Amino acid sequence: MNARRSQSAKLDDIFGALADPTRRAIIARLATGEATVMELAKPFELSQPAISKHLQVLERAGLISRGRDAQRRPCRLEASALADVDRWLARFRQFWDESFDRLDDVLRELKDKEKNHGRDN
Amino acid sequence: MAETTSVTAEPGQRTIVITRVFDAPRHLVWEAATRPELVRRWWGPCVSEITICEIDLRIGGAWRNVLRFPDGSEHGFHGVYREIVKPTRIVQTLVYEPFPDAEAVETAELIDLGGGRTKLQITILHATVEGRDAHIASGMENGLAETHRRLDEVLASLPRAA
Repeated sequence: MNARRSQSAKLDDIFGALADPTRRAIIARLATGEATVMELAKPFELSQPAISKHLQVLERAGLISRGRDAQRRPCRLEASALADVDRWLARFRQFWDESFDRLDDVLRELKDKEKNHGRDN
Repeated sequence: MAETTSVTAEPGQRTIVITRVFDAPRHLVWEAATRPELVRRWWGPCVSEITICEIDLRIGGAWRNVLRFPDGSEHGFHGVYREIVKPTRIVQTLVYEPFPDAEAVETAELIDLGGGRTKLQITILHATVEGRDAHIASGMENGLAETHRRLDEVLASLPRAA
């Protein structure tokens, strides 16, 4: 139960971080390379404190890492956190895929039964 | 032709949308999805065994499925039917029993694509984003148990070192 709650909390942090368009744009920018806070703030016309708030959310979600001196050292994308989300969704999709594969078999049987029943009439 | 399941879960939203096309006419997909003796033959991940499958298909009627996993754990799901429109739509509530207060609403739409094919679209709407995310993440421990079991099988099948 504990493992489940911490995993869902982690996923929630990541999804919450990605739910904001400014933060998604920051992620996209960092995907092309490291950047300082000043460089990240420029395209958005946001104050540095406002950008820093977004960076805090991203850092808490494990999506970025920052140098100790946040003003001067660059922010870096932690791509493995995004891979976690992909893995969760893939696992979830696999469960449904397996069920639906078996539903395919059940449907095939029902179709055969229907065809045979028609032939017997 | 192998069909694929698509799952959509946008960040910050409360829904999960699951879609798959079946090579069968809609009235048969309806039967397979609503008769308990058929549902128990396909519902749930391969590694699990469905021990209870009860369906009372009427407005206000209850449904309940229980899955047993190789580690012996049992996971129960239940709900109540809100809308039944044969053969196009079923709306039911969904509760995962360890979390009885987190009720989701599951809508299944059966769309006739013509040519004897049917699209099944299931939309699961949770009360909170956190509940939706927990639903997606909940497979991971069971997945871990399954991975260990499969690894055990592979190891058991390897020839012993001389």
